[in-house]
Amino acid sequence: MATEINKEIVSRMIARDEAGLRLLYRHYSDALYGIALRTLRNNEAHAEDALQKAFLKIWNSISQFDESKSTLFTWMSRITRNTAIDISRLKSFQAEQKSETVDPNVHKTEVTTIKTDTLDSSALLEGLDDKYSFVLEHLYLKGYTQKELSEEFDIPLGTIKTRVKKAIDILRSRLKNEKKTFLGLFILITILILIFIR
Amino acid sequence: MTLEEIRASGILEQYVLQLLSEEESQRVEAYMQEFPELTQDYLEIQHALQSFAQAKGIAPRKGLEEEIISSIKSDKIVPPKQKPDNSNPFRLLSILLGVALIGFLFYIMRIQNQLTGVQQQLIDLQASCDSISAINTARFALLENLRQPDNQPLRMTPTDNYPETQLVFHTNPGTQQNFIQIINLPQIGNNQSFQLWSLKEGENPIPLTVFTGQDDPIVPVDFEDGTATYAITIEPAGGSQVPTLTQLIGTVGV
Repeated sequence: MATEINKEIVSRMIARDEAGLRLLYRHYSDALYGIALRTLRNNEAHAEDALQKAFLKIWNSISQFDESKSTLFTWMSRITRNTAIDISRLKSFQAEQKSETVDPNVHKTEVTTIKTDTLDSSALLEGLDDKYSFVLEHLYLKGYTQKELSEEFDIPLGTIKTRVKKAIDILRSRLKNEKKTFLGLFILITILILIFIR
Repeated sequence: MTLEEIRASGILEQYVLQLLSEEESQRVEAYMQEFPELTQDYLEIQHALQSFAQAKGIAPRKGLEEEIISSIKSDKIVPPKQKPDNSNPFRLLSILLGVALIGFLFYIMRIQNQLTGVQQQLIDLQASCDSISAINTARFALLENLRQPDNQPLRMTPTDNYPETQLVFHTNPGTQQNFIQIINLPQIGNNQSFQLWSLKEGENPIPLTVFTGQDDPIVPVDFEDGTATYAITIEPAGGSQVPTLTQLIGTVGV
């Protein structure tokens, strides 16, 4: 389903159809904004700026998106993260950060409903130990490098690499299981309907 | 590395997360070429991370969608970089005007330089005229003196060593002025000059005017009262205190 939606988004945006932009926003803005906001240490104004710039870049360079190299989301998330990282390097941002005391543990309410192309988020994150989630969140959503993460939180680089691998393995496994459950339920309901009709 | 080793190493996950160096990334891309099975792993890792990002998604504030879309709409037509439109008549006209202006400025500068040169020539000629005029004035004054009734023009007698000497010595006891009118003089070197001497009875020769005889045919010279004879010798440049008798070119008795 995700592929179909992505294809529609891409084709509409290439055709410079505003509907493609709206579709993109409604499907992916939460995830991309989550990346921008975390990378920019919860600075909402800068995160909004980053999201706006990222959307503009996506809109202007959609024809360069190569499906054979990455998924649409991977491509967009890289654009968003890099845009946010660029903003985080601005002196104006750094000066603002110094003058503000932001509690890094205070986050916006995270979205608990996953969009059409993914499965139940609570189920997905269930069983994903905090130590795995922590590493993934910092590297993937907050724009940390492994070295920065290792130095700031005193975690050996080897451990970080292992945890990244483990975290993704868990997520992959859960996604597969969820798909299997969904398929099983679908088959079961179909059989029941057929029996009932007879 | 075998397929299983690659899968177990976690390098594919690092690749998707952009945590690898350029060289390591190229290695992963080579692995994916070598083992097409990795493509499925690559896709699954991307989907896993997408699901994680979506699960951790944060809803932007309401209204941001419209702001972003309207800002993109106002910016959405990214004009392609166009080649300069040479057919634009205003552009062509501007270029022509620019070239004409440069040419005109160059012409003005050239005329200005010529004018400066002519002005300098005029100043030089003016100075030359002034100089000639001054000389002529002096000559007229000289002639006026020579026309005085007391003026005595006396032809100098050349010595045997310098027979080519031809001079007229003008003396005026009334005004006490002497002039030499040069007709012909012997050749002298650059380090030599002519010198007039006054010879009086029972006295040593008195050194008078030193001249080269090259600038003017009539030379005003000193008048020495009581002189019996004037003599001219060739002396070192600047003159001497004692005449060089071997280089006596002529004498004139007054």
